[in-house]
Amino acid sequence: MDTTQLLKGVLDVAVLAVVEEADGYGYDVVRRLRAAGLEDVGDASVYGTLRRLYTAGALTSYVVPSEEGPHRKYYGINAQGKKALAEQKKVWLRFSDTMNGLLRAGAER
Amino acid sequence: MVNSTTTVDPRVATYLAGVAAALDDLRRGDREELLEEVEEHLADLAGESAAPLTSRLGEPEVYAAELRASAGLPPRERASRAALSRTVGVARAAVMAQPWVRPVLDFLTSLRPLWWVARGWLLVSLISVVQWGSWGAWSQRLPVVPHVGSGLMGLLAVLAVAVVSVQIGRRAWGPRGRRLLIGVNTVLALAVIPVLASLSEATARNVREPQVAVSYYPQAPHQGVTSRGDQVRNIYAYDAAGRLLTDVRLYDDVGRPLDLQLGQDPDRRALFDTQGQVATNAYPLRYFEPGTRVVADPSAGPQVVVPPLVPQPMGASATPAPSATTSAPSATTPAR
Repeated sequence: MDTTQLLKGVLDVAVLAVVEEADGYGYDVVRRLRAAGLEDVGDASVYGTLRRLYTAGALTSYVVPSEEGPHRKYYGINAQGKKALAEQKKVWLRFSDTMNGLLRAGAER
Repeated sequence: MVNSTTTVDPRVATYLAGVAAALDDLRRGDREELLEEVEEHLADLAGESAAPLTSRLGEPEVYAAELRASAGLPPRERASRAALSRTVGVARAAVMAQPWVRPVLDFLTSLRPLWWVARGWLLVSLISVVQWGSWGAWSQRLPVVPHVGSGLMGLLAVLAVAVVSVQIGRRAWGPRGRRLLIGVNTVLALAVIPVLASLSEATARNVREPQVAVSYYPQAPHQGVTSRGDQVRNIYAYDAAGRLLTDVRLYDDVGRPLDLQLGQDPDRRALFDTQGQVATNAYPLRYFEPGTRVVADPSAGPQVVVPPLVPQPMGASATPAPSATTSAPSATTPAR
């Protein structure tokens, strides 16, 4: 199964979860998602998702100047983002339980 | 990103330009914010490895499309339509900001009932023109009234449709009804062209009709003297012996000097009577050679042969009886 299709549906909750753990800039979030096992995640998708969540008011952002290399735009979660994360987490857990139950039951037959 | 631009990796610059081009239809603020982060990203990747950026990210267009999709921005084609409608919106706002626009719009709005009546007329006229063509579409007696069976019926039809049209105009319509109305209004507004063309064609034909031509004729009386429909430009008088006479003074039946109304001409020889008055009725008219005061041929005349008249005493019978030429003068026939 193509995991990039699955990723599209869960990227919001995945990004929110990573940012809740610690503030991060775009490429940092990409690396942490990959390190967590989502190796197929697209760089541009993560940047776009961060921007959309920020525009929707779920994230805050601030620029950190750096000596060598570019300035970094960091994202942090806010109260609205935390609420959204909690809801989406609940939805995902219930959904994955359902899917697990369905697929295991199928395998036992 | 000011200081980073000085040390940009050429791979970053090239790739960034590709992404920027693929985002060029976005609003400038959105685009710049996105590109700042893209540049940060590309610089990070370039710092990590010497591999070309495309091996990890794919082509710039693919990157840009993925960025747009995940950021909730419209794909490029739809975005350009959005950009167009945004441009239209900006232009519209600029026009509305002009001080004269509001009063003009208010004035036009107050004319709406006039349009409601006019479109009723347009609808009936259009149907009439389509049905019967220019010739039969219009009432002959009632101006601008379409002929529906009769001119009176046409007038009643226009009034009835106008009432319905005004009622439609006064009602508030939902979005679907409004869209339908806009369509109908557009069709009727465009119908102005064929309807007016047909009306002017029919009117022009009516003017040429004899009954109208008669009332038209006295408005443009013919100037001067005509003979068989052509303007007379000179008059040559011959006496009974067939000799051309010169400087003959002619008068009409009420004693006015006969005037050919040829207008001013400096080359025309002017004659004066003994009281110093200009004799405008001395014929034939003579013309000087251009630039001189000389008439080249004072005896010039038309190419006619004028045989002498058979002498006949005054007061003779009016009937030209060639055989009885010498009959006695008759007192019963008045001399003309």
